[in-house]
Amino acid sequence: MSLEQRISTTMARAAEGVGAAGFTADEILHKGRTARVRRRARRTAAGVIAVVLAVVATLTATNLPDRTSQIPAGPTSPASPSPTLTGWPIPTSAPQSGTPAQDLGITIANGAEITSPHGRFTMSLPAGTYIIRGVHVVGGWVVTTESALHPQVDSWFQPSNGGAPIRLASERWETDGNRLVVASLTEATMTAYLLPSMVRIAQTRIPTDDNSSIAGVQIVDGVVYADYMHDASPLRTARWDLNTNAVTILAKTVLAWGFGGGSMLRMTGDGDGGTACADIVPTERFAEGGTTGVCSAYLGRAVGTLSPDGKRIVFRAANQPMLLVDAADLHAGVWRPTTITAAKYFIGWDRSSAFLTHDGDPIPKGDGNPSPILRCTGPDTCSPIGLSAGNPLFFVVTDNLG
Amino acid sequence: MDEDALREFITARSGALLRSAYLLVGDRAHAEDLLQTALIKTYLAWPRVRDHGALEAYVRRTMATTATSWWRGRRFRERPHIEVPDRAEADPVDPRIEHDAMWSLLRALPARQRAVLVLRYYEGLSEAEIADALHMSRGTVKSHASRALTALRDRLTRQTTTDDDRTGVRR
Repeated sequence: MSLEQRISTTMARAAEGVGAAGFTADEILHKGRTARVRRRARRTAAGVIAVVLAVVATLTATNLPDRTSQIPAGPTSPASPSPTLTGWPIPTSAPQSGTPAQDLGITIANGAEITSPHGRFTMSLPAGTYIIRGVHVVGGWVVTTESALHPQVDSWFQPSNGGAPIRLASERWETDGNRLVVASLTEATMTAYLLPSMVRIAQTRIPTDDNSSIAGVQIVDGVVYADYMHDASPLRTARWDLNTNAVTILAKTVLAWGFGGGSMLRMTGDGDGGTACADIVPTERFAEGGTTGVCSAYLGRAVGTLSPDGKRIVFRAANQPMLLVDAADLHAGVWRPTTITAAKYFIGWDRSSAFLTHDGDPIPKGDGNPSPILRCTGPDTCSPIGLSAGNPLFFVVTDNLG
Repeated sequence: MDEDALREFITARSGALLRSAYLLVGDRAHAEDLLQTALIKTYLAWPRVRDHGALEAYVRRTMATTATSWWRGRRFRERPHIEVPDRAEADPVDPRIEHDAMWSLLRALPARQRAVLVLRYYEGLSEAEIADALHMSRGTVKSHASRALTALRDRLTRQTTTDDDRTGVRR
């Protein structure tokens, strides 16, 4: 039997035992309708009134001299001052009673306004633009915005001294609070800037073919890890040392999912959805092999996030409940997850290592109330956080800068 | 939207589509996720699907492209509303296939190489059809197929050699 025949026969045999699908046509149609409503809410809303951005503000914002004149031609162009938008073209979210977000150390972005426990700051953004992601960095904020009026996503550095926001070349960015790395959306190129001056400190291109592009970047202790992909390979990770400008390709895809307590959640795999391994390691050991931790097919499909204190991880994967895992267990190779019963969707961690979550669609629809945004200290110990009316319909949490 | 037609299609074809999904991802639960995702995408695209006779090809293409971009997709910051929720208790697949050497090797291939082989040797598509389905050039399809076959040959040879060594067979 030829190799091709053997492949064909094996596939037929493997497929034989699969059995019937565990869902009905009506379930798919229902999910399709729900997805369509959500998509419309996003588009027409253009949706969203604002976004809650829970930000772990561990760094102190300082007023540093404005050196924007040193910014290279690429990522610049200040936003044009915008008229105040008096309303959004979709319903706003309902008020929610509970301990006010600011009292919990949670920073919220509502439209162009960032409200932290220390005060409020309003970015000067084009009309109808709202923040969907943000990180508090030295001397300001790095944020990504969407427009309610146009299908447009932009990223910005907003100095906290009140200077005009500076538009970045790409929405694909990451920061360690002191440096900012921006990756191209179409090529395997990256540029690093010093914050808050936005002086360009390095630029590189991953040595791969022309069809490659970068899927995501992480920056740890002056070293950038970029996962990239091209037509003829699964995801790969490149290591870029900002001090030497040297780029090396790692043997396995290595991803960082959060930093906390001097450690990080490191996941390694073959990059195409097979088995992956997760471990908690000191940040300086990011690229080393010999992981202990736990390896499984579930982890190959899961996304994990480490709490700011480095003690807990929330894992989630499509069609699976969220799991809470003790970091020490994981590092010891023990897989002992607790199912989070209170809600299905993870938003992020707050500064005290409680996590924010909700149980469904926070977008108010005609057929029901939005689900409340909860703060959980354990898998089933959650309570709503206090939010005023008009808060975001969906939101994204920053990385932990811890 | 003619939901009845789509309901009828899903009822009639989800079993066959699930088998293809399983070959693409090599895991029963993951296959069900993949198929649900592809069907929901199809529902959303339904008004734009002009040739309803080609619906199955559309779903299969969506599965293939989704399967090869899953890891990459999850890398981006997720938003809750794009997740496909709930349910997926899967029946275990025939345990005998889990011990099949060739199946283990096929599952170990990178996603795109595996997708090309599934479309070629299970779905019976031509190179041109695979290129169209996966949005890649025919040259890239050839390259994936060639790499996959070479890898399988190498690994099979290595396995055979190892087995022979164990049993004391000399060549």
